[in-house]
Amino acid sequence: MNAPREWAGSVFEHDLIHAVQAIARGPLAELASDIDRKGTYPESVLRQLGAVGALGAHHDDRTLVGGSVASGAGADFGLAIRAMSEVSQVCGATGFMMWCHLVCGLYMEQSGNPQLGGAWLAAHARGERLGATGMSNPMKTFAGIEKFLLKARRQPDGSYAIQGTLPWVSNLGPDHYFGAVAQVEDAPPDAPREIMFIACCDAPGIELRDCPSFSAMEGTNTWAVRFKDYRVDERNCVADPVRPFIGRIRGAFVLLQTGMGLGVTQGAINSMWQVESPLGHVNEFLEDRPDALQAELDELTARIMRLARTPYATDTEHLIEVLDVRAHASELSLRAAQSALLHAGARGYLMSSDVQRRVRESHFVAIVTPAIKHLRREIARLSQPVMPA
Amino acid sequence: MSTIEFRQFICRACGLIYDEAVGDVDSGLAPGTRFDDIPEDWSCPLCGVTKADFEPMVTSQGTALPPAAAGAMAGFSVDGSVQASARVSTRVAARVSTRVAARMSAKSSQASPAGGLKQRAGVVIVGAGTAGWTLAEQLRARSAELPITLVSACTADRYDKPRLSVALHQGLSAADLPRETGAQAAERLGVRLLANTAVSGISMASRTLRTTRGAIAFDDLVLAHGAHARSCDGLPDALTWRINDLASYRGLRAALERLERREGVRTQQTAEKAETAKTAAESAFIVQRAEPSLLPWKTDAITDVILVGAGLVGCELANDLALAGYSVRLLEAGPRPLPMAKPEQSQALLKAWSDLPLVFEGGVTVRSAHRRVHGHVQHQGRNQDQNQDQIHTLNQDQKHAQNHRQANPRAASDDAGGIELVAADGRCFVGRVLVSAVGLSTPNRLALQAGLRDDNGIAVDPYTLSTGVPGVHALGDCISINGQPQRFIEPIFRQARLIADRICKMDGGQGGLYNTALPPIRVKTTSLPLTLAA
Repeated sequence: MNAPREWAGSVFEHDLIHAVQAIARGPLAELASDIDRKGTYPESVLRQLGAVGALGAHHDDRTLVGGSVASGAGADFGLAIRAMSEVSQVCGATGFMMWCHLVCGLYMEQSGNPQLGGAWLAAHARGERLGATGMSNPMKTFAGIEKFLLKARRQPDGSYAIQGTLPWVSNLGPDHYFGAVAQVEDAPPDAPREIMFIACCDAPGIELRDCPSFSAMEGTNTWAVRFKDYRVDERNCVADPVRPFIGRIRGAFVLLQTGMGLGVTQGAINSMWQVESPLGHVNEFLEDRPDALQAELDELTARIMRLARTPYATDTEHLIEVLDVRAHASELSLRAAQSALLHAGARGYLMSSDVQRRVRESHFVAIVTPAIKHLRREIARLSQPVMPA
Repeated sequence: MSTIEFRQFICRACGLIYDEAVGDVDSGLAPGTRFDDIPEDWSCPLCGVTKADFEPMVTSQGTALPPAAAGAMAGFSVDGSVQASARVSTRVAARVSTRVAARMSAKSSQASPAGGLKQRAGVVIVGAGTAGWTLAEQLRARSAELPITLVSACTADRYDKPRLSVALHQGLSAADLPRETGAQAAERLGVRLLANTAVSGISMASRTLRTTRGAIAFDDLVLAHGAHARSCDGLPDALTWRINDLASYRGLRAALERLERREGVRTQQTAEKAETAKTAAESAFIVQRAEPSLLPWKTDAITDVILVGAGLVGCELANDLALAGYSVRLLEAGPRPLPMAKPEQSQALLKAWSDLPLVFEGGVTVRSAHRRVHGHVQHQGRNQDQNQDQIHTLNQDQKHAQNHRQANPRAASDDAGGIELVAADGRCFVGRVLVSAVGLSTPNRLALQAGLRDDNGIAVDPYTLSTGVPGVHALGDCISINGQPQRFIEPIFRQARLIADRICKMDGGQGGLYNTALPPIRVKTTSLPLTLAA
């Protein structure tokens, strides 16, 4: 697999999707069962995806992954989502790790911090270095659902020392890094403040600790991360203050996740077609048949691709649309995976079958932050007309 | 070597696929080994059955159900997952679901296997204002069995919106306005009501409405979600009451009550206020075109209410507030109130108002408004980081409103300082409550997302009220006909009757064609009721 030399519009997109399909249906398909059952971390697959440019399509600067400035192509979130969908069709856990990495790159690029851009971001976008995200807790805290788990104490030299524990952060490794948020201590109660930063797993003050097993996500290298006087300064600061930054990237953060749901759904539909010939005469009695699901999936995909043209829009209407397509992708993957199991019957219930694995992956799509319930709560909040006190 | 395409074979026991291109290396079958060349004693590497239990894979999708047959079932499981709102009595929910179950069993006995089980999803109505409820009634009058679901962003209480313009001086409290709660109406009509439910999307492929309580299948969808009161440029939503529904009206009335509690009993002040205001009104009337700097009294006098927009609703509200004894300053961009009326009608109205504590100010274009704290202007931007539960950057107005609703103990004192409104020409007006009535607009997110045509509202056919998308109609304030919004009460009944006829296939499915003639408009400025030609 050669790295693409030029970003040439649709030809490139076609080539990229083709390259991603080759990886997904080849080495990833071979590894998928081990990822699920043995907890094998598919590092080689992630690096191959990076090598073909599949981890960089969403970057404003696409020269990072071999594009030419002259081609003029900017961020293509639609392409990033389609690539993630191809991967998730074969292995939802790997699709999830792809999102973790993509959104970490998004923090780094959008931070505007030159120390996080440049060579580091270029290596990241090509999958030579791997990153992740520990943003579930802050996202839920900003939505009024949780409290901050990390605290930042201001140091005399202007840096911050971070304390606390994040219970699970995925796609980690000894040389990986991830985005996180800590609440600044001693901020006045009427002006709360946070800082966002990139935490490096091999730096002093960070300890990875075992965490419980997760259904369908054993291979995602998920760890509890303990912070003890971890240093944040201008080298690794993403945003200070954090809220305007989150407000700007939140739509893009959520929209990228739809690649998982689209892929898990497509994978389920594909497996339904696979048993259509032997089992169609009984499967016709089931609801949620593959052609109906495919029509709904195609409609949803088109809607997502329209939203992907303006990933950084921040108006309320756009955000509601993004939250709704994310919820729809979750609901559809639940229905499709469930129906695929009913279509496949006992053969799909074998531990080695991707059909039952996909049922668990669809559950993950539906509960990972933002879960369906979070999305609906936020849509309800945003739909309320603004009134005086 | 071979030009014949590699084929795939599926294990009938476990579903394992033998791909000739891949072979089964673990069992010694090299890639490219044809199925026919596999020894008979070879067994499925997954489940152990023999070669005889494999059969060719049909990879084409040709054996699928015809799309129509499968499409008809699309909504079934979705609909089943939706819970009836807690606001519907359990008795109604039970009754409705029993009915649905009975219909399902009746249907299922006649369903062919290829057609699958088809539940009748019925009609889903978005919006529980006059349009939505009237349609529900019309549908129920035509069919006792039709499943009807009503989705409402609020409690769906039934009330007459025109009363919002006269309730104050008629002595009606906000609590007096609903004539039936949403739950009562739902029970009476056998309607499944999803109250306090926001609509997030429409999937035409699966014919489901997406809501914050799950997806709801529909056979027919009717949009009756109305319009919303436009924001006025320069006025922060979190400072400004925009009255177009019962919820916002309740809020305004509560704000006025807080004002009364703080300022003393209104009736004792009314006479004095009226006297002051009368003088002011005369001044305003005479010196409308004078230089603002010549009118020092304007910045000193604090009115109870500043009302921006002197169209129909603005004049009616100002009239009602003033009759109830609140001092009102009515601001309008144009030179006279009721710009759509004849100039002599506007003049007559001003004359009728001259005895009321109501001052009309023409030629006012709003630049900004700020809350004053203890006599000082507090700029909007400085008070927004107080609630850590919210990301204010996502929606500053909402954040600000949340601040005041939940977490800001200073809100009450903020109220006391009043609100300062600055006009483009530098004039300042100070009031305690700020209201805007600068017109309605139809939200178009849903329509655009669902592929409906947006043309100052959801564009519908004037004769059928169809949106052009099969099975989707619209009525009430949210529609437009030939680019003209249709925001009148009277035609709603005719619209509802037509749509109900069409959905229930009465009158050959054509119904009585919708007569688009508009009624005359009665302006409920009770100090001088006016009738405008349509």
